[in-house]
Parts: sequence; structure tokens; C-alpha cells
Amino acid sequence: MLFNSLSFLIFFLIVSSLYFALPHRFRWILLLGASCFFYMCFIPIYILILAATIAVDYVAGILIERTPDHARKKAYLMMSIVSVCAILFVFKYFNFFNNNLAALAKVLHWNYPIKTLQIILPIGLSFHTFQSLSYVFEVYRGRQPAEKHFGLYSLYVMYFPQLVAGPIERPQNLLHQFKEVKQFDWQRLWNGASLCLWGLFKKVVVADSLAIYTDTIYNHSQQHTGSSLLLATYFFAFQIYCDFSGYSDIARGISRIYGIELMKNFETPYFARSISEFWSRWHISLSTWFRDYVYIPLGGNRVPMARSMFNIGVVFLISGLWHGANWTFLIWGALHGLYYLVWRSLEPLAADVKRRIAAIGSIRLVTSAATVQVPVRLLTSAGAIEVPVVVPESEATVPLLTSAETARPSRAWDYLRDSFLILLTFHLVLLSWIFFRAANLQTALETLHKIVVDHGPLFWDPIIVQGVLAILLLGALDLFHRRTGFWDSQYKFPKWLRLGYAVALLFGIVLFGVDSGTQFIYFQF
Amino acid sequence: MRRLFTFIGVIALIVIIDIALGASLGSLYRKTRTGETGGLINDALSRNPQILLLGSSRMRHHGMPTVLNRKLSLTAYNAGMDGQDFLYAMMLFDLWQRSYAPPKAIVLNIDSDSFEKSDEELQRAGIFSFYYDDSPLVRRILNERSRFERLKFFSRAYRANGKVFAIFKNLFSHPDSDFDGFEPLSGYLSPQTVPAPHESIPTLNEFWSLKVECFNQLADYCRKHGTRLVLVQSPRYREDPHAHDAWVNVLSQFLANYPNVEFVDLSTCAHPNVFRDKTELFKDGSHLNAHGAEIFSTMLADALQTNPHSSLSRTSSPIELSAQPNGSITAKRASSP
Repeated sequence: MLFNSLSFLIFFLIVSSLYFALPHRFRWILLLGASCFFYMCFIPIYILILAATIAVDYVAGILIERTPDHARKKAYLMMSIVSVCAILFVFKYFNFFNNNLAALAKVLHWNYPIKTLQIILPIGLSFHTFQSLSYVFEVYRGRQPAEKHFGLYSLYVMYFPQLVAGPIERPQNLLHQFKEVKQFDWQRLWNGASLCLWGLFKKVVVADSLAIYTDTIYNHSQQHTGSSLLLATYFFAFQIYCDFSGYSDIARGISRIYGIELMKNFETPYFARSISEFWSRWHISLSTWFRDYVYIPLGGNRVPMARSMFNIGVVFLISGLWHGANWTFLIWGALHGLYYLVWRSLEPLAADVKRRIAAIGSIRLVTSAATVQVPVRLLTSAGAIEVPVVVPESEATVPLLTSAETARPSRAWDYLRDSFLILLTFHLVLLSWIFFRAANLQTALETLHKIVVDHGPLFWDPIIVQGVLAILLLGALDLFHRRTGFWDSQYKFPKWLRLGYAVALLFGIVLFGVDSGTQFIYFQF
Repeated sequence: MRRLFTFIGVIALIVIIDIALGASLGSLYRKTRTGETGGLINDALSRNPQILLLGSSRMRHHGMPTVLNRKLSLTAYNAGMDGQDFLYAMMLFDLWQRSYAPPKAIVLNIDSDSFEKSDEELQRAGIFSFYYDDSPLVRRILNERSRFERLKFFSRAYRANGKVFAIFKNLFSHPDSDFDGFEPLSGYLSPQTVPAPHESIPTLNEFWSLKVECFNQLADYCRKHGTRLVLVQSPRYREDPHAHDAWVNVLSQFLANYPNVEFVDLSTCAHPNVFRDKTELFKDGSHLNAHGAEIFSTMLADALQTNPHSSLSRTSSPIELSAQPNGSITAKRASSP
């Protein structure tokens, strides 16, 4: 049952009606039952895997909290990590490692008898495994009391809006919300429904339209020119963004209707000015998960530079592997790690250049033979203001004026620099998407090669026009939402505007949506 | 209570906008005469030929109405469509026969997968959504697309789903006055681009009941009105002779129940001397170029002219081509030894 299907709409309407009709004490039962049903619509038997993960971490949480002995706490934590990761490994990574070992054994002429497993990956396995693990970590750190109510804990892991593709929630944010009494609220209903429409618009109008071209080109990459592959890669960048952020928005919208706030997973990531900023705006729930539970325990920034860089590399490699058991995902993660490290090592140099350029941009005309007037931009809570300062010419030397705190470049320069950095960051990310989208490493490298050398004719499809228009519209609306904080403070806008916007989204979906019930890309992870 | 009224007001507003959008886009849509998202359907429905050619791109780019017209002295129109197949042909004919007297002949291009179940084909049938209310057959086929299709069609605007840009684009382009539906392909085939054939031949049991039902309806119509119903198989550059024989065998079993239906086999396997290894006749592995289409149409016209009630075995005999002084090509069936 997909969010972009009518069967889900019917399911959601039934669950929502019952949710508000039932007294608070029964609501968790309803949500848990609905979540079980939702999950079992994919492969019913796999609910047992989920049940095992829940049981292990529920027990681990209680044991960790009860025992005063730190060593035993750690042992329980390790037991939990090993158990749930073992499930993840068997279903997701066993075949990958096994195939690579078999290939290695073949090269070395060793006898390697272990066969490939014929199993289907449970939907959203990585998501609910990580969500469950975050609970155990938080209990271990003492930041979250162990949940004694097995039903509520199960609901925390299984909550259907975010069960199969996140956001990966933390127990501090989600668990207590299940316990709070929520009344029906028209404002929340409107707000949540609008957010769902926006997510659905991104999925079926933008992502699925772009997918038509992307799939045509990438599924037969040998038959297409580098120009077509390049356009398909640009389209894929927006497809995956709209597909995944669309899912997250629908999840947040549904949950908002119930009065349960889920964390924001995307913040206009393609407007990021650096790779580190990109990762603070893209799949935020996963990047913060890795920061909190992998990077910081490895030492974070409190270790020597070399060690810190190694840690960053490890985090990005794991992040790549989290997405899928394929070399392409590993390369994708490694590329991002490399970008991050290069960016970080260039940061002091960039700051120095910025300071010097800022100084050059700040000095203006000499007002008299003896003095110069220097405009200094100050950042205040009310915005940037420019203050003219007159100083003796003899003192107007660059070092004096280039104090980074006071001298700022002009606004035009800001825009120019930001635009350049946004474009640079976007294209670095774009390069990595080739590996993410390609079926295997060989295809990815061939695609890259073709993009560089083969500039033949573009494969034309009328969907290109719709795709480009959709991307432009998306960019404009995304910026509007971000600048105005639209989804978090809709009540500030006039009613007619909110209504008009929601109706426009609805008819945008009806008229331009791809009506094929395509699965969300991140379900496979 | 005020909230409830507001809610009802919003729903009413949505319904009004939906009806208005659906009606205005529907009216614009019916004015289009070009384009594969529906304009070509409108154009076909505005014609009244004596021979109607139906099928996929393999009919659209192969069947030349001018050749049939010249050789048979009957008007013809090619209503084949790229990316479509059997269901498109059935829906188009069902709509067409509501407005016009029965044609003299219907020629339907058939391939080994034409009778198989295909969800993609069903999805592509969505180009008929503006005709949802006009024909029970169109309704029946469109409703097969999903469990909730009936519910979706409550929305009038939904009928324009995926067609808005095309409607506005096609509104301002018109077909040439001598347009007959045929779209010639130019260029030649490079053999290395053609993959080896790997056809899977369906058994009779694998024929999709929906398609069989549609075919029954068509065959019934033709029998009642004395219209010749001719199934034709177009050539491919590479064909597997075993698969071809298996397919002809399955089709002959199927057509045993339809004595009024003819089958003309113009495949490469049936006519190796005409099509085998002739790269100059093909645009790609599945489509003939304009020159190949002329030869194909000539052979089809001859089959229609000389073979009013052919059987499978009779149509499979080799055909000889000869160039005429006026530049046209005639096909003659080789006499049996």
C-alpha cells in the first residue's frame, strides 16, 4: 500500500476517523493495528522480522536501565546492536559480501561453497532498524527512560506514517507524543492535509514525471548519448529529491493531522553552499543519526585532525552502505566523504581569501586628500546595515580594515559567491548521483565516460518540457516555503491564499500527476 | 458548525472547479487532430474509409493507404498508433462504428504478444479517458486499470490527466489535407543494433480474456455486417522460425472458432525472399522504412485482392515481387509446385 494510491487514502480515512472517535487510551491500539496492517500489505510474513527487532530492543532497553553496572549496560547494548544488525546483515548485505568473497575466491582458485540466499529485502528494513537502535542508544546514554509499555514501544518503531522510509525518529521526540491527549483540530487537519498534498505533488507531478525520462535513459544507457545521460542525471537529482522529500512531507502531514509532529527531513538541500551544509539539509534524520551514534562516539571533533578525517570517511562509507549493498552506493558514500574532507581542509584557506576579498570590496573612494570613507557592513538583528566610517588615509590599510567581524563584502558579491558555491555543491552532488542511479559500477563508469566524451543528439521526449517546468516550479515553491516558514506557520497567511494554494496543488496532481502508482525509491532501503 | 459549513463549501468549490476544468479541457481536446495523446484518435473518428487499418506502430509505419487505394480502388485510412496495440485498436473501432456505416474491410496488425495480458498496454489505454462516457467497451477497459478507476472517473478533470500540455500544443497544429494516418519512416537499419529474437509464444490459455472478449465483439460485428476482418502479421528484421511456427500454430487454433476471420502472414519467416537480411527495407528491428512499407502494402493489397477467404496454409506461400514501369511494385504469390 503506497502513499500515492487510492487504497492508502481509504485506509487513512478509516484510521483517522476511528482515531478521533476513540478515547485516548485506545488510540495506541488503533495506530499499532493500523501499522501492522500497513506493513503486512507488502510481505505479511516479514512482520515477524520487525517483531524480533522490537522484542530484542525492548528487552535491551529495560535491562540497560535496570543494571547499575556500566560494563553490563555495555554488554546489553552490544547484544542489541549485534542482534538487530545481524538481521539487517542477513537480509541486506549477506549476498553482497558473499558474492564478493566468491569472486575473490575464484581469482585465488579457492573452493568457496556458500550459495547466494534467495530472499527479498523487507521493505524499509534499514529505517526501522535504525529507529529501534536509536532508542537503545538513548537509553544507554541515560537521555531516555526505558519504555515499559510494550505496545507503545512497538508503536514507536512501527508508526505507519514513517515506518518504511522515515524520518528516522528519536525516542525523545516521538514516544511522549503517543502519550499526550490529542483533540481534533481543524487548523491541524488543514495544515496536515496541505502538507500531504505538497508531498504528493512532489512525488507524482515532479518525481514520477522525471522518472519517465530518467528510467528510459538509464535503463538502456548503452543506447543513449552522453547528452541524454547528462540530462537524465540532472533529472534524477530532482527525481530522488522530490520522491524522498515528498514521502517525508506526506508522512509529516499525516502525522500532523493526528497531532504528532515528526522531524523535518529536508531543507531545500540543493541550495546548500557546501557539502557539509548539504548534509545538514538532506535526509536530516539519517545524517544526524550518523553524527550522534557513529561520528561522536568515534571521537567527533575532539580528536586530532587526522583521526577526525578518518572518522568522517568511515561515517560516509557506512552511509553509502546503508543505502544499499552495492559498490555503487559505497562509491557514492566515498565521494561524499571525499568532498567533505576536501571542503573541510580548504576551509581555513577559503576564510583567508574571503577576508582579503572582503577588504578589497569594502574600500571606497577617497573623500579628501587626508581621509578615506570606508563603508562597513554590520549584521544586526534587524538585518545588514552599512555604516560609513571616515578614517585617516594613513590608517586605511588593508589589515586594519579587514577585521572579519566588521568588514563584509557587498550584497552583490554575496549573491555571486553564494550562487557559485550553490552551483558547485549541486554539481558535486550530481556527480555522485550517477553512481547512486546506475545499476552497477561498470554502467556508472560508462555513463560518466559518455557524459564527458559523447555529445551526440539528445533523446527527445515531450516529458522533458513538463520535467523542466516542474523543476522550476519546485525551486520557486521550495524557496517560498523556506523563506516564509510556510508549513510551520500557515496561520499567518490569509485564508483565501491557503485555500487557493491547496486547491491548486490538488488539481496540479489530478491534471499533471503520473497515475501509475510508482513505488518510492527509498522503500528499497 | 461554521467549520462544518466551511468544509462543505470547500468540497463544493472543488467539485465546481473539477467540472469546469474537465468540461473545458474536454472541449479543447476534441478539437485536436494531431498528436499521440489523443488528437490522432479524433482524426481517425472524423474519417469514413472503406478499409480501416488498425494496430500498433507496426501498422502505422507499414500500411500505406495510397497503395491500397491505387490497387483496390477503395479508400483506406491507417489508424495504427505508436506505443499502442490491440486494446487501442478495439477501443478506437468501437467508437468509430458508432458514427459510420460498416467498412468493407478491417485490417488488424497482430503480433505474438498482441493477445497477452499487458498492464503497460492497459495503462496506455488512458489516452481514451475523454471517451469514457461514450462507449461501454472503453469504460470496461479503462476500469480494468485499477480497482479504483471508477472512483477516479468521478472526477471530470482526471480525464485530462497527463494530456494538458499536449492538448494546448496540438490545438494549434493541423494534419495535412492528404493525411491518411500513415507515417513513413526514413533511414536504414544497421544490423548490429538488432538484438537476437527471443519471443515467448503464449499458449491459448494465456490469451487474456479481456482481449478475447474484445476480439469476439469485433468478429461478431464483422460477421453481422459482412465486413472482411483480416489479421496481418508484419515482418521483423530478425525472426526465430521456430517461434514463428509455434505462434502460427497457436493462432490457427484460436482462429478455428472464427471462420470469417482471415490471416495474412507477411512476416519475414513466411516471405524470406522479400524481407530476410534486407537492411535497405528496415528502419529498425521491428519497423520497415518507407520503401519496405510500400512493398508490404503492395503485398497486403494483393492478399486482399486475390484472397477473399484465405486460410493459414494458403497465405504462407512465398510471394514474388516485380517492379512495374510506373515505379510501383506488385507482389504475386508463387504457384504451388
